Amino acid sequence: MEKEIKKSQKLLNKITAEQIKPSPRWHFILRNYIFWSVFLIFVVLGSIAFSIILYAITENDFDLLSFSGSKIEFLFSVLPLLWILFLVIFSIISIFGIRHTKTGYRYSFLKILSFNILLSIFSGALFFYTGGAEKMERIFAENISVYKSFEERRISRWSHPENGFLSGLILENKSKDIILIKDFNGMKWEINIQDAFIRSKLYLNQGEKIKITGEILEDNIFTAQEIRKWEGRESRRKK
Amino acid sequence: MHISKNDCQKLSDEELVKMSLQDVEYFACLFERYEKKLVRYILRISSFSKEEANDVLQEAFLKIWKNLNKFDSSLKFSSWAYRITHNTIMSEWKKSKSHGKDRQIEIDDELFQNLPSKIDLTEEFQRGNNKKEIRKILNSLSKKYSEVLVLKFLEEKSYDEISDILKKPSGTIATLIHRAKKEFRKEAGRKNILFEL
Repeated sequence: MEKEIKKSQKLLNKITAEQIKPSPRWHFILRNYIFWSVFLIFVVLGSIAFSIILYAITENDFDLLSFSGSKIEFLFSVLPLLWILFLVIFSIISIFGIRHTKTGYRYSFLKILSFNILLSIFSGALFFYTGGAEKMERIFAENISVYKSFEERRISRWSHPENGFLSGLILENKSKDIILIKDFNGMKWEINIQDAFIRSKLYLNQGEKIKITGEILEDNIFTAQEIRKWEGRESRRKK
Repeated sequence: MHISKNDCQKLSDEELVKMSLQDVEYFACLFERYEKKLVRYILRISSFSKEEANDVLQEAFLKIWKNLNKFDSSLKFSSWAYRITHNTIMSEWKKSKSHGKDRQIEIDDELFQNLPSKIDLTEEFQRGNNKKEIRKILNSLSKKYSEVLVLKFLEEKSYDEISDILKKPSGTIATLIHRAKKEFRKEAGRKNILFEL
Protein backbone atom coordinates (compact mmCIF):
# COMPACT_ATOMS: atom_id res chain seq x y z
CA MET A 1 0.00 0.00 0.00
CA GLU A 2 2.84 2.31 0.95
CA LYS A 3 4.53 1.54 -2.36
CA GLU A 4 1.28 2.38 -4.25
CA ILE A 5 0.96 5.71 -2.48
CA LYS A 6 4.53 6.43 -3.37
CA LYS A 7 3.89 5.86 -7.05
CA SER A 8 0.79 8.01 -7.15
CA GLN A 9 2.57 10.62 -5.04
CA LYS A 10 5.52 10.47 -7.44
CA LEU A 11 3.11 11.24 -10.27
CA LEU A 12 1.55 14.15 -8.38
CA ASN A 13 5.00 15.48 -7.48
CA LYS A 14 6.03 15.44 -11.12
CA ILE A 15 2.81 17.20 -12.17
CA THR A 16 3.18 19.92 -9.53
CA ALA A 17 6.95 20.32 -9.82
CA GLU A 18 6.87 20.66 -13.58
CA GLN A 19 3.61 22.61 -13.44
CA ILE A 20 2.03 20.34 -16.02
CA LYS A 21 -1.47 21.56 -16.78
CA PRO A 22 -4.21 19.77 -18.71
CA SER A 23 -4.63 21.24 -22.21
CA PRO A 24 -7.64 23.56 -22.34
CA ARG A 25 -10.99 22.06 -23.31
CA TRP A 26 -11.51 24.49 -26.19
CA HIS A 27 -8.40 23.05 -27.83
CA PHE A 28 -10.08 19.62 -28.16
CA ILE A 29 -13.46 21.07 -29.10
CA LEU A 30 -11.82 23.16 -31.83
CA ARG A 31 -9.91 20.15 -33.12
CA ASN A 32 -13.13 18.16 -33.33
CA TYR A 33 -14.92 21.02 -35.14
CA ILE A 34 -12.03 21.34 -37.58
CA PHE A 35 -12.30 17.69 -38.58
CA TRP A 36 -16.10 17.91 -38.89
CA SER A 37 -15.66 21.04 -41.02
CA VAL A 38 -13.10 19.27 -43.23
CA PHE A 39 -15.61 16.47 -43.69
CA LEU A 40 -18.51 18.80 -44.52
CA ILE A 41 -16.53 21.13 -46.80
CA PHE A 42 -15.17 18.23 -48.82
CA VAL A 43 -18.56 16.54 -49.03
CA VAL A 44 -19.89 19.79 -50.51
CA LEU A 45 -16.93 19.99 -52.92
CA GLY A 46 -17.47 16.31 -53.78
CA SER A 47 -21.13 17.06 -54.49
CA ILE A 48 -20.15 19.90 -56.81
CA ALA A 49 -17.69 17.61 -58.59
CA PHE A 50 -20.37 14.93 -58.89
CA SER A 51 -22.92 17.42 -60.25
CA ILE A 52 -20.42 18.57 -62.91
CA ILE A 53 -19.74 14.94 -63.85
CA LEU A 54 -23.50 14.49 -64.20
CA TYR A 55 -23.65 17.64 -66.31
CA ALA A 56 -20.82 16.39 -68.52
CA ILE A 57 -22.51 13.02 -68.97
CA THR A 58 -25.87 14.52 -69.95
CA GLU A 59 -24.22 17.01 -72.27
CA ASN A 60 -21.97 14.56 -74.07
CA ASP A 61 -22.80 12.50 -77.08
CA PHE A 62 -21.86 9.04 -75.89
CA ASP A 63 -24.01 7.55 -78.66
CA LEU A 64 -21.38 8.74 -81.13
CA LEU A 65 -18.93 6.24 -79.71
CA SER A 66 -19.78 3.83 -82.54
CA PHE A 67 -18.93 6.49 -85.15
CA SER A 68 -15.55 7.36 -83.73
CA GLY A 69 -12.33 5.75 -84.87
CA SER A 70 -10.51 5.26 -81.60
CA LYS A 71 -13.01 4.39 -78.88
CA ILE A 72 -10.51 5.03 -76.05
CA GLU A 73 -9.57 8.41 -77.49
CA PHE A 74 -13.25 9.29 -77.78
CA LEU A 75 -13.97 8.28 -74.19
CA PHE A 76 -10.99 10.30 -72.95
CA SER A 77 -12.29 13.32 -74.83
CA VAL A 78 -15.85 13.09 -73.46
CA LEU A 79 -15.33 11.81 -69.91
CA PRO A 80 -14.81 14.57 -67.33
CA LEU A 81 -11.64 12.90 -66.02
CA LEU A 82 -10.50 15.95 -64.09
CA TRP A 83 -13.80 16.08 -62.20
CA ILE A 84 -13.74 12.35 -61.56
CA LEU A 85 -10.26 12.84 -60.08
CA PHE A 86 -11.53 15.76 -57.99
CA LEU A 87 -14.43 13.64 -56.72
CA VAL A 88 -12.03 10.88 -55.64
CA ILE A 89 -9.67 13.36 -53.92
CA PHE A 90 -12.51 15.22 -52.17
CA SER A 91 -14.02 11.92 -51.01
CA ILE A 92 -10.67 10.75 -49.59
CA ILE A 93 -10.21 14.04 -47.70
CA SER A 94 -13.76 14.01 -46.32
CA ILE A 95 -13.30 10.40 -45.17
CA PHE A 96 -10.03 11.44 -43.52
CA GLY A 97 -11.93 14.26 -41.78
CA ILE A 98 -14.71 12.11 -40.35
CA ARG A 99 -12.29 9.37 -39.28
CA HIS A 100 -10.46 11.94 -37.14
CA THR A 101 -13.53 13.22 -35.32
CA LYS A 102 -14.06 12.08 -31.74
CA THR A 103 -16.13 9.01 -32.61
CA GLY A 104 -15.22 8.60 -36.28
CA TYR A 105 -13.29 5.39 -35.61
CA ARG A 106 -16.52 3.60 -34.68
CA TYR A 107 -17.65 3.45 -38.31
CA SER A 108 -16.04 1.12 -40.81
CA PHE A 109 -14.33 2.53 -43.89
CA LEU A 110 -17.00 0.92 -46.08
CA LYS A 111 -19.83 2.54 -44.10
CA ILE A 112 -18.21 5.97 -44.25
CA LEU A 113 -17.44 5.57 -47.95
CA SER A 114 -21.03 4.53 -48.77
CA PHE A 115 -22.44 7.38 -46.66
CA ASN A 116 -20.08 9.81 -48.35
CA ILE A 117 -20.95 8.59 -51.85
CA LEU A 118 -24.72 8.69 -51.16
CA LEU A 119 -24.44 12.20 -49.74
CA SER A 120 -22.42 13.38 -52.76
CA ILE A 121 -24.87 11.74 -55.20
CA PHE A 122 -27.93 13.17 -53.50
CA SER A 123 -26.68 16.72 -53.04
CA GLY A 124 -24.79 16.62 -56.35
CA ALA A 125 -27.96 15.64 -58.24
CA LEU A 126 -29.84 18.45 -56.48
CA PHE A 127 -27.12 20.92 -57.45
CA PHE A 128 -27.20 19.68 -61.04
CA TYR A 129 -30.98 19.96 -61.40
CA THR A 130 -30.95 23.51 -60.07
CA GLY A 131 -28.44 24.49 -62.76
CA GLY A 132 -25.55 24.95 -60.35
CA ALA A 133 -23.26 22.50 -62.12
CA GLU A 134 -23.39 24.38 -65.41
CA LYS A 135 -22.72 27.73 -63.70
CA MET A 136 -19.89 26.30 -61.64
CA GLU A 137 -18.25 24.73 -64.69
CA ARG A 138 -18.46 28.04 -66.51
CA ILE A 139 -16.94 29.95 -63.58
CA PHE A 140 -14.16 27.40 -63.47
CA ALA A 141 -13.48 27.75 -67.21
CA GLU A 142 -13.55 31.54 -67.08
CA ASN A 143 -11.12 31.80 -64.19
CA ILE A 144 -8.65 29.01 -64.86
CA SER A 145 -6.89 29.54 -68.16
CA VAL A 146 -5.46 26.02 -68.49
CA TYR A 147 -8.85 24.45 -67.92
CA LYS A 148 -10.59 23.45 -71.15
CA SER A 149 -14.33 23.81 -70.67
CA PHE A 150 -16.88 21.24 -71.81
CA GLU A 151 -18.00 23.83 -74.38
CA GLU A 152 -14.49 24.17 -75.82
CA ARG A 153 -14.07 20.41 -75.86
CA ARG A 154 -17.42 20.05 -77.59
CA ILE A 155 -16.45 22.63 -80.22
CA SER A 156 -13.22 20.81 -80.91
CA ARG A 157 -15.04 17.45 -81.15
CA TRP A 158 -17.64 18.86 -83.56
CA SER A 159 -15.25 20.76 -85.80
CA HIS A 160 -14.15 17.87 -88.00
CA PRO A 161 -16.29 17.94 -91.15
CA GLU A 162 -13.76 15.64 -92.83
CA ASN A 163 -14.71 13.01 -90.20
CA GLY A 164 -18.42 13.78 -90.49
CA PHE A 165 -18.79 16.14 -87.50
CA LEU A 166 -19.77 19.74 -88.14
CA SER A 167 -21.31 22.44 -85.97
CA GLY A 168 -22.15 26.11 -86.05
CA LEU A 169 -24.75 28.86 -86.04
CA ILE A 170 -27.68 28.89 -88.49
CA LEU A 171 -27.39 31.99 -90.68
CA GLU A 172 -30.28 31.40 -93.02
CA ASN A 173 -32.95 28.93 -94.12
CA LYS A 174 -32.25 29.01 -97.85
CA SER A 175 -35.00 26.58 -98.77
CA LYS A 176 -36.97 23.66 -97.35
CA ASP A 177 -33.96 21.40 -97.81
CA ILE A 178 -30.99 23.78 -97.51
CA ILE A 179 -29.74 25.80 -94.59
CA LEU A 180 -26.69 28.02 -94.34
CA ILE A 181 -24.47 27.85 -91.25
CA LYS A 182 -21.26 29.44 -90.02
CA ASP A 183 -18.98 26.98 -88.19
CA PHE A 184 -16.93 27.87 -85.09
CA ASN A 185 -13.89 28.57 -87.28
CA GLY A 186 -15.87 31.20 -89.19
CA MET A 187 -16.40 29.16 -92.38
CA LYS A 188 -19.78 29.17 -94.11
CA TRP A 189 -21.41 25.85 -95.09
CA GLU A 190 -24.44 24.95 -97.09
CA ILE A 191 -26.19 22.03 -95.43
CA ASN A 192 -28.47 19.66 -97.28
CA ILE A 193 -31.05 18.51 -94.74
CA GLN A 194 -33.35 16.66 -97.11
CA ASP A 195 -32.79 13.17 -95.61
CA ALA A 196 -31.65 14.23 -92.16
CA PHE A 197 -32.95 13.10 -88.81
CA ILE A 198 -33.70 16.16 -86.76
CA ARG A 199 -33.76 15.88 -82.98
CA SER A 200 -36.77 17.17 -81.10
CA LYS A 201 -36.83 20.69 -79.67
CA LEU A 202 -34.94 21.85 -82.73
CA TYR A 203 -36.66 24.22 -85.14
CA LEU A 204 -33.73 25.22 -87.36
CA ASN A 205 -34.39 28.88 -86.85
CA GLN A 206 -31.87 31.56 -87.68
CA GLY A 207 -29.43 32.09 -84.81
CA GLU A 208 -29.81 28.52 -83.45
CA LYS A 209 -26.61 26.59 -82.67
CA ILE A 210 -26.56 23.06 -84.07
CA LYS A 211 -24.40 19.92 -84.37
CA ILE A 212 -24.50 17.89 -87.57
CA THR A 213 -23.31 14.42 -88.52
CA GLY A 214 -22.96 13.63 -92.19
CA GLU A 215 -20.40 13.99 -94.95
CA ILE A 216 -18.81 16.60 -97.17
CA LEU A 217 -20.32 16.56 -100.64
CA GLU A 218 -18.04 19.18 -102.13
CA ASP A 219 -16.30 22.36 -100.96
CA ASN A 220 -18.39 23.93 -98.18
CA ILE A 221 -21.39 21.76 -98.99
CA PHE A 222 -22.33 19.17 -96.36
CA THR A 223 -25.00 16.48 -96.49
CA ALA A 224 -26.59 16.05 -93.07
CA GLN A 225 -27.56 12.65 -91.67
CA GLU A 226 -28.60 13.93 -88.29
CA ILE A 227 -28.98 17.37 -86.75
CA ARG A 228 -28.86 17.97 -83.00
CA LYS A 229 -29.35 20.94 -80.75
CA TRP A 230 -25.96 22.32 -79.70
CA GLU A 231 -26.49 21.65 -75.99
CA GLY A 232 -27.34 18.22 -74.64
CA ARG A 233 -28.94 15.23 -76.25
CA GLU A 234 -32.57 14.85 -77.25
CA SER A 235 -34.82 12.18 -78.66
CA ARG A 236 -34.86 11.68 -82.43
CA ARG A 237 -37.53 12.82 -84.86
CA LYS A 238 -37.63 12.51 -88.64
CA LYS A 239 -37.81 15.73 -90.59
CA MET B 1 -2.28 13.49 0.04
CA HIS B 2 -5.22 15.03 1.88
CA ILE B 3 -7.84 12.82 0.21
CA SER B 4 -8.56 9.56 1.96
CA LYS B 5 -9.01 6.22 0.24
CA ASN B 6 -12.58 6.28 1.48
CA ASP B 7 -13.24 9.62 -0.29
CA CYS B 8 -11.92 8.14 -3.52
CA GLN B 9 -14.04 5.02 -3.32
CA LYS B 10 -17.24 7.03 -3.06
CA LEU B 11 -16.63 8.69 -6.41
CA SER B 12 -17.12 7.28 -9.89
CA ASP B 13 -14.38 7.57 -12.53
CA GLU B 14 -16.22 10.40 -14.25
CA GLU B 15 -16.63 12.27 -10.97
CA LEU B 16 -12.96 11.78 -10.21
CA VAL B 17 -12.06 13.25 -13.61
CA LYS B 18 -14.12 16.35 -12.81
CA MET B 19 -12.67 16.62 -9.31
CA SER B 20 -9.11 16.14 -10.63
CA LEU B 21 -9.52 19.16 -12.87
CA GLN B 22 -10.28 21.19 -9.75
CA ASP B 23 -7.82 19.52 -7.41
CA VAL B 24 -4.91 17.48 -8.75
CA GLU B 25 -4.87 15.36 -5.56
CA TYR B 26 -7.95 13.52 -6.85
CA PHE B 27 -5.92 12.39 -9.83
CA ALA B 28 -3.99 10.11 -7.48
CA CYS B 29 -7.28 8.28 -6.80
CA LEU B 30 -7.67 7.51 -10.50
CA PHE B 31 -4.05 6.37 -10.68
CA GLU B 32 -4.45 4.05 -7.73
CA ARG B 33 -7.75 2.70 -9.02
CA TYR B 34 -6.21 1.65 -12.33
CA GLU B 35 -2.60 1.07 -11.41
CA LYS B 36 -2.71 -2.71 -10.87
CA LYS B 37 -4.99 -3.38 -13.83
CA LEU B 38 -2.93 -1.31 -16.23
CA VAL B 39 0.45 -2.61 -15.09
CA ARG B 40 -0.91 -6.11 -15.58
CA TYR B 41 -2.15 -5.12 -19.04
CA ILE B 42 1.24 -3.64 -19.95
CA LEU B 43 2.98 -6.82 -18.85
CA ARG B 44 0.50 -8.93 -20.81
CA ILE B 45 0.89 -7.25 -24.14
CA SER B 46 4.53 -6.30 -24.00
CA SER B 47 7.80 -7.83 -23.02
CA PHE B 48 8.60 -5.02 -20.59
CA SER B 49 9.91 -5.80 -17.12
CA LYS B 50 7.80 -4.81 -14.12
CA GLU B 51 9.98 -1.76 -13.57
CA GLU B 52 9.63 -0.70 -17.19
CA ALA B 53 5.89 -1.33 -17.00
CA ASN B 54 5.68 1.08 -14.06
CA ASP B 55 7.56 3.72 -16.08
CA VAL B 56 5.17 3.19 -19.01
CA LEU B 57 2.22 3.57 -16.66
CA GLN B 58 3.67 6.78 -15.22
CA GLU B 59 4.11 8.11 -18.76
CA ALA B 60 0.57 7.04 -19.71
CA PHE B 61 -0.91 8.79 -16.68
CA LEU B 62 0.96 11.97 -17.49
CA LYS B 63 -0.67 11.84 -20.95
CA ILE B 64 -4.05 11.18 -19.34
CA TRP B 65 -3.50 14.22 -17.12
CA LYS B 66 -2.50 16.48 -20.03
CA ASN B 67 -5.55 15.33 -22.00
CA LEU B 68 -8.00 15.21 -19.12
CA ASN B 69 -10.17 17.90 -20.70
CA LYS B 70 -10.44 15.70 -23.77
CA PHE B 71 -12.14 12.92 -21.83
CA ASP B 72 -15.52 12.27 -23.34
CA SER B 73 -18.04 10.98 -20.82
CA SER B 74 -19.81 8.98 -23.55
CA LEU B 75 -16.79 6.68 -23.24
CA LYS B 76 -15.90 4.63 -20.18
CA PHE B 77 -12.93 6.15 -18.40
CA SER B 78 -11.40 2.69 -18.24
CA SER B 79 -11.55 2.36 -22.05
CA TRP B 80 -9.94 5.76 -22.43
CA ALA B 81 -7.22 4.93 -19.90
CA TYR B 82 -6.57 1.59 -21.61
CA ARG B 83 -6.38 3.40 -24.98
CA ILE B 84 -3.79 5.90 -23.78
CA THR B 85 -1.83 3.18 -22.04
CA HIS B 86 -1.97 1.04 -25.16
CA ASN B 87 -0.67 3.90 -27.30
CA THR B 88 2.08 4.60 -24.79
CA ILE B 89 3.10 0.93 -24.83
CA MET B 90 3.22 1.01 -28.63
CA SER B 91 5.36 4.14 -28.77
CA GLU B 92 7.69 2.84 -26.05
CA TRP B 93 7.85 -0.50 -27.82
CA LYS B 94 8.79 1.21 -31.08
CA LYS B 95 11.47 3.19 -29.27
CA SER B 96 12.94 0.08 -27.65
CA LYS B 97 12.73 -1.77 -30.97
CA SER B 98 14.63 1.01 -32.71
CA HIS B 99 17.25 0.76 -29.95
CA GLY B 100 17.51 -2.98 -30.48
CA LYS B 101 16.08 -3.74 -27.06
CA ASP B 102 13.06 -5.72 -28.21
CA ARG B 103 12.99 -8.87 -26.19
CA GLN B 104 11.00 -11.89 -27.27
CA ILE B 105 10.56 -14.73 -24.84
CA GLU B 106 12.12 -17.88 -26.21
CA ILE B 107 9.62 -20.69 -26.61
CA ASP B 108 10.57 -23.67 -24.57
CA ASP B 109 9.47 -26.73 -26.54
CA GLU B 110 9.84 -29.05 -23.60
CA LEU B 111 7.36 -27.05 -21.56
CA PHE B 112 4.75 -27.39 -24.28
CA GLN B 113 5.18 -31.14 -24.42
CA ASN B 114 4.20 -31.34 -20.77
CA LEU B 115 1.03 -29.31 -21.07
CA PRO B 116 -2.46 -30.88 -20.94
CA SER B 117 -4.15 -31.35 -24.30
CA LYS B 118 -7.10 -29.02 -23.75
CA ILE B 119 -6.90 -25.64 -22.05
CA ASP B 120 -9.43 -22.87 -21.43
CA LEU B 121 -7.42 -19.72 -22.01
CA THR B 122 -9.32 -17.31 -19.73
CA GLU B 123 -9.75 -19.84 -16.93
CA GLU B 124 -6.19 -21.05 -17.07
CA PHE B 125 -4.81 -17.58 -17.03
CA GLN B 126 -7.02 -16.58 -14.12
CA ARG B 127 -5.98 -19.66 -12.17
CA GLY B 128 -2.39 -18.89 -12.93
CA ASN B 129 -1.83 -22.13 -14.77
CA ASN B 130 0.18 -22.22 -17.98
CA LYS B 131 0.56 -18.45 -17.87
CA LYS B 132 4.05 -18.60 -19.22
CA GLU B 133 3.04 -20.81 -22.12
CA ILE B 134 0.01 -18.72 -23.02
CA ARG B 135 2.19 -15.64 -22.93
CA LYS B 136 4.73 -17.29 -25.18
CA ILE B 137 2.09 -18.14 -27.76
CA LEU B 138 0.69 -14.60 -27.53
CA ASN B 139 4.18 -13.21 -28.00
CA SER B 140 4.70 -15.33 -31.08
CA LEU B 141 1.56 -13.90 -32.71
CA SER B 142 1.59 -10.61 -34.56
CA LYS B 143 0.80 -7.57 -32.38
CA LYS B 144 -2.62 -6.97 -33.97
CA TYR B 145 -3.73 -10.47 -32.96
CA SER B 146 -2.14 -10.68 -29.53
CA GLU B 147 -3.55 -7.33 -28.40
CA VAL B 148 -7.17 -8.26 -29.22
CA LEU B 149 -6.80 -11.65 -27.58
CA VAL B 150 -5.36 -10.10 -24.43
CA LEU B 151 -8.14 -7.51 -24.29
CA LYS B 152 -10.92 -10.01 -24.99
CA PHE B 153 -9.85 -13.07 -23.01
CA LEU B 154 -7.47 -11.82 -20.35
CA GLU B 155 -8.76 -8.31 -19.69
CA GLU B 156 -12.30 -9.54 -20.44
CA LYS B 157 -13.34 -6.44 -22.34
CA SER B 158 -16.45 -6.31 -24.53
CA TYR B 159 -16.25 -5.75 -28.31
CA ASP B 160 -17.36 -2.14 -27.86
CA GLU B 161 -14.75 -1.52 -25.19
CA ILE B 162 -12.02 -3.03 -27.38
CA SER B 163 -13.31 -0.87 -30.24
CA ASP B 164 -12.92 2.24 -28.03
CA ILE B 165 -9.50 1.18 -26.79
CA LEU B 166 -8.01 0.36 -30.19
CA LYS B 167 -10.05 3.00 -32.07
CA LYS B 168 -11.33 0.49 -34.59
CA PRO B 169 -14.93 -0.32 -35.56
CA SER B 170 -16.59 -3.16 -33.61
CA GLY B 171 -16.98 -5.18 -36.80
CA THR B 172 -13.24 -4.98 -37.43
CA ILE B 173 -12.60 -6.06 -33.84
CA ALA B 174 -14.87 -9.10 -34.30
CA THR B 175 -12.99 -10.07 -37.47
CA LEU B 176 -9.63 -9.55 -35.79
CA ILE B 177 -10.63 -11.70 -32.82
CA HIS B 178 -11.86 -14.44 -35.12
CA ARG B 179 -8.58 -14.46 -37.05
CA ALA B 180 -6.52 -14.13 -33.89
CA LYS B 181 -8.23 -17.17 -32.38
CA LYS B 182 -7.41 -19.18 -35.49
CA GLU B 183 -3.81 -18.05 -35.37
CA PHE B 184 -3.59 -18.82 -31.66
CA ARG B 185 -5.00 -22.33 -32.16
CA LYS B 186 -2.63 -22.93 -35.06
CA GLU B 187 0.34 -21.82 -32.98
CA ALA B 188 -0.82 -23.90 -30.00
CA GLY B 189 -1.48 -26.83 -32.31
CA ARG B 190 2.15 -26.82 -33.27
CA LYS B 191 2.80 -27.51 -29.60
CA ASN B 192 0.07 -30.21 -29.45
CA ILE B 193 -2.18 -28.20 -27.13
CA LEU B 194 -5.84 -27.60 -27.73
CA PHE B 195 -6.92 -24.24 -26.33
CA GLU B 196 -10.53 -23.39 -25.71
CA LEU B 197 -11.20 -19.88 -26.93
